[in-house]
Amino acid sequence: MNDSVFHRLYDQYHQDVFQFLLYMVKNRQTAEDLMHEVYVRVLKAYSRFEGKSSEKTWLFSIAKNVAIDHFRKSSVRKRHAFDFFDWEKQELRSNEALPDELVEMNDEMKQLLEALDECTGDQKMVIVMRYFQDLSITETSQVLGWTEGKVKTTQHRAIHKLRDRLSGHSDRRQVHDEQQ
Amino acid sequence: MSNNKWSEQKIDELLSQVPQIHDTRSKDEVFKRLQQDPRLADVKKEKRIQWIPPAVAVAAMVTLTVLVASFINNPQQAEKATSDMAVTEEGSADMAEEETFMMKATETEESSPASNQGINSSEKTSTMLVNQDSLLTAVYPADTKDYTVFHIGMVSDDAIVVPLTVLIPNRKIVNEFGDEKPTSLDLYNQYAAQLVEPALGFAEYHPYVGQFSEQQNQLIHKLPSKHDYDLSSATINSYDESIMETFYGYSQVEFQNEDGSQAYFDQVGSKKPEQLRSGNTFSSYYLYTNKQGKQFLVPNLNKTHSDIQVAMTEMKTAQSDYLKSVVPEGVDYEVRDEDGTNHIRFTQQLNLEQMDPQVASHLIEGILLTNGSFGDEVQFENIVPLNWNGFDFTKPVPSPIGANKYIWE
Repeated sequence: MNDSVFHRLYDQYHQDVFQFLLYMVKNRQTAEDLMHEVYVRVLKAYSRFEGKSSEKTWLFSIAKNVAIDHFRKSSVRKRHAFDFFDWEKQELRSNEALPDELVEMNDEMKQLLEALDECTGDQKMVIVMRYFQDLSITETSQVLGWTEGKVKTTQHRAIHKLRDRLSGHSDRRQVHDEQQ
Repeated sequence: MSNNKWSEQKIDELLSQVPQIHDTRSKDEVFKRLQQDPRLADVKKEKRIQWIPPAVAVAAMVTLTVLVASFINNPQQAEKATSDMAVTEEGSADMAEEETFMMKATETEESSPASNQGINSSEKTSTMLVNQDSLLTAVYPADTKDYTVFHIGMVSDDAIVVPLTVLIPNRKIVNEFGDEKPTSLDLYNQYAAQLVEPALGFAEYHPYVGQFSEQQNQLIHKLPSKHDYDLSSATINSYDESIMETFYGYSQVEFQNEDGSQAYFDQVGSKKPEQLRSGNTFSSYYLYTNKQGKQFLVPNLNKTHSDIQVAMTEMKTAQSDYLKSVVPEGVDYEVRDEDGTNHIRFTQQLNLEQMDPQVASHLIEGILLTNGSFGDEVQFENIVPLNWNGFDFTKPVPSPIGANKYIWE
């Protein structure tokens, strides 16, 4: 293991990546486990990092893959074995115990985060990256491997969906979404 | 609560105010956990020596002795032998060194009379996997004449599961199993432990700990109380996917403790049975390059599709740092189903002879494997030449039997 790489990555990005994972899975223990996985993958692959993207977006893209992997496994556990799992279209919802910081939030914030769990995986991912992690459109597109246009569209749809969910129009929107 | 309360502006503001949450562990704590992870242990030369079976090392020494003797007695022949070895050098020097080493070990054993007698004790150390000298890497129905197919999901140092399709000569199978056709479990029990995984570019993973057994159409894995498969979500993923790529012919695999109760995995809880798919994984194939520079076509089992059209579209985009698209820039295609055959029409005529041969074969085989994972044949359209590398594109191309061919010699 390259110790100096770990120390540098930890100092620069650890808290950001950890927060991203924690908001994705909403459980501190799980976020710690996933953070460990991110380091394992990063440290094993670091020598092959080509610098085509920034180190930051590379780290987040690995964290994204680790998170998706976690939800895929949860999905397999909850539903039929090896069922189809498309993270962009399905909810990335965690039913584990919430960390104290989320329990202590005010009601509006709690409602907002609950509504976020009802968004599709691609929408939730974009919101967490854009708002919670302050990633730019360009950075988000690099992390997700999308065009910038797709990031903007997904963010726009996510905000619409959050508004509809929070305004109690969820049923109508759900029907609409299913028809798309 | 009033519905008007939630304007987009308010949502926008609230989203920007979510509290910052920190990892409360110390840096040292995070670091120590990483230091204890065996996946990050340095793979050093001396470790390699440990896993090379002693007889193979002896064989290599014999080869070296023969080579030196040849050089002394017949310099011209020795020069040719050296240049033949040089031909095998592809990828990194390290990998070429290992592959040459393995090939030579095989040749030496083959020249020994004992190796032709089907004696298990000597074969266990002499049998080796070799690549065929061809651009095509998948196994097709025509390849299996005289061979039995042994599928195995290898795990790379990057925790990517790579399906290998190993062709074992039928004469060897008859020696070891008689007239009875072995199941995939029989093949696994017989051959998995003999694979020298690091020399092939993989982590030491097989054979699985515990015992497998069959119950009708179902596989049961009885696990000891201590194992590493549930160390993390990634190790569980490797475990599940490697089983998926290894055991064909079963409907599902059940996980049990030694006392027969349902196994419990850390992070997962009770480990539910997993459906097995005998290659029909409904997934797109991508190009994975391991640390030694060796390339494999692998399915992304993390993302399965209900529709071949979606799978074929998905193939155009890299899925991660490891899983790169086999579709070169500037190449595009449309997919349609006609009479049960998938027609892949390239938007602009695809001239395979004007492409890098390796890139062209990855593209064609990636498409065939992706369609094969749905059990579908492919009719290519707008492609030249119509006969290429043994493929006849004037008619549907049958599904490959598996990816990443190796021949057991």
